[in-house]
Amino acid sequence: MVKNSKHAFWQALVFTILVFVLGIFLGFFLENSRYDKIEIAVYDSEINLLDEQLRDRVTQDFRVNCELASQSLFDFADQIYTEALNLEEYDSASKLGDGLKAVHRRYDLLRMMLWLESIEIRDRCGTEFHTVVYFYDYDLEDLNVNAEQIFLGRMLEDMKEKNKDKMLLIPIAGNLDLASIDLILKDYGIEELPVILIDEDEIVSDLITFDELEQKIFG
Amino acid sequence: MATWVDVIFFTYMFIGLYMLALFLFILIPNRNRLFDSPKGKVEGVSIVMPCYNESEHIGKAIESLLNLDWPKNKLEIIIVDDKSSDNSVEVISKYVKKYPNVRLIVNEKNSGGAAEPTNKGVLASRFDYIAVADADSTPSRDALRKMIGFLQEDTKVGGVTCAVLADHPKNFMQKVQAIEYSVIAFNRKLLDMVDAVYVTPGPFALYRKKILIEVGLFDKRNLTQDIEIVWRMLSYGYMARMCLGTKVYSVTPKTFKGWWKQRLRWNIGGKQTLWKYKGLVFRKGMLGSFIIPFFSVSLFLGVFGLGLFFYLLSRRALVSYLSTKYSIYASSTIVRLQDLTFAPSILNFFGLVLFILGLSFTFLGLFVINDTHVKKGNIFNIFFYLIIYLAIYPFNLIHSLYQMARGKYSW
Repeated sequence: MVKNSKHAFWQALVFTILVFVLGIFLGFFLENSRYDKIEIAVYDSEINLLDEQLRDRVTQDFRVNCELASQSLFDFADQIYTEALNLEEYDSASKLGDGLKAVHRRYDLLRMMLWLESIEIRDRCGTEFHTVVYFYDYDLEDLNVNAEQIFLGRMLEDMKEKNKDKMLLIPIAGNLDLASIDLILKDYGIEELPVILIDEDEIVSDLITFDELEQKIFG
Repeated sequence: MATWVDVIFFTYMFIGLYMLALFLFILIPNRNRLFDSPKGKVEGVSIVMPCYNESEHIGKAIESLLNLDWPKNKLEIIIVDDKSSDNSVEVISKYVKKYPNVRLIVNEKNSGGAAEPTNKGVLASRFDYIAVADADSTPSRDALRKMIGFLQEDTKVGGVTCAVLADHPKNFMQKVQAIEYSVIAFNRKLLDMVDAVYVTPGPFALYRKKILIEVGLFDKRNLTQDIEIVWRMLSYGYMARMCLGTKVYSVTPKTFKGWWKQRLRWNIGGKQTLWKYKGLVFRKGMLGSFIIPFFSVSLFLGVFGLGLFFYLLSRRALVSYLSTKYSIYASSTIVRLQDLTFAPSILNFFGLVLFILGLSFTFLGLFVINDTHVKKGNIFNIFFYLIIYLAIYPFNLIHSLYQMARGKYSW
């Protein structure tokens, strides 16, 4: 009367493994397409940075307007900031590969170069803007650090929105094993993240209010 | 890169997908046989109905038994009152006077469960087949005709269950349970196709008396004697069957509190049974190779999943609390629009696929069982069942473990 269907146990196992493997492949495909998208953005940003450096040379050699140069610097900073936000999102959704970490490191190097560029332009042109470098922790295991970074990220964005053309915001992951960044952190004696560095001079590592931070940046 | 939490989620999804695939692979070749019943012949059946404070439902339950499509000279109804404090005995006595095949046994003191009065009824019975019925349940007229063939066809079959459905669900709580009962009936029939029926629920089940006595009758210490008896029969080399061609309607709890208490009893009884038969894992056919591992894994996944859920929830809550506290202190923004956006990960896609499959399976179950009391168009109830109702279950599981650890549990 009852036809036994015990072979369904292994049939289901084979089917589930197949579906899972297919799903993992689709996952790799999805993450790779995101990786490609970000990588193209990195290439564009690298080209932009080279362009920026050339523009700087042009500014010096052909005496082009400093205002134009700093505006271009701000535009570029805004662009890589937006791209970095996308990268953060994709990075947190990445489950199968470690490729985005490498992209993250490249972005951090770009931002380091942008920072150096900004110092040079400010020194040469005497332009009135402030550089705020935000060194954050890439690994978010510590709950307190995680909460502090969420808070600081929001506050710095608020600050940037309020003072668009007066402040250059450069977030950099401080623990991605990049020699240049490690060197700077060591030079400033920074051992714990997150930390805000204002105009290559003042370090903010304690809890601070919006007004206090504004005071520290803009005097 | 995947964290340990991601790996656990992947494992849960794999097991969830496997169970769905298993049911699908059982269903496909058997889809035209789900409602089949072997043709049975008329033989004497004694129906045993334990009763405790059921004056509200007992009359209707006796009427439904008297109304069964079965010759009256081949049917006896034995009601064993477990020292009710209401007027159950009075109600039953009226039927005893009116119908010669209705008998009443009154316990001198309350036994605290259904097993003892049921055993008493079994031992007092005249016939070779024993049907056990709850005092708040009403079987379909054709119940015995459809079920008895399963026992007569194969001498290794010790018990037969049928589709237990919710009796006239009125409020929301009962309507959601009606969905659950339909899905369970569908699943149980699929498990029957692999000889893995693990319970003959109390509302209405038919047994071979000889086997019941051979295995030692119902366990008085177990809170779910209807699960335990099947496991015992399986351990003796017998099996249970499921007849989807007939049904019994059972009264469901109206309140959340009543539901919680009922499920607590089911969970405690299930664990008592699991503990009793733990030594038979990977032995005794489907009992050791599927039923015991299935129960154990379900228990582990439920408890572990709830623990993981609270761990992740508390982490997230703590981070949100601290970041909000800092933001308030600093007079800066608490929430930004971009905090609410996210890029879906492969885990999110897997979860979505699994949910859609689960939803489809639920609809399929409701469609197959086709209980007229379940409004299949009520999508909200079905979503509530899948997302909220099933998620409450692990909490009950934890509560039952706690009660067991304290040693405080009873019917």
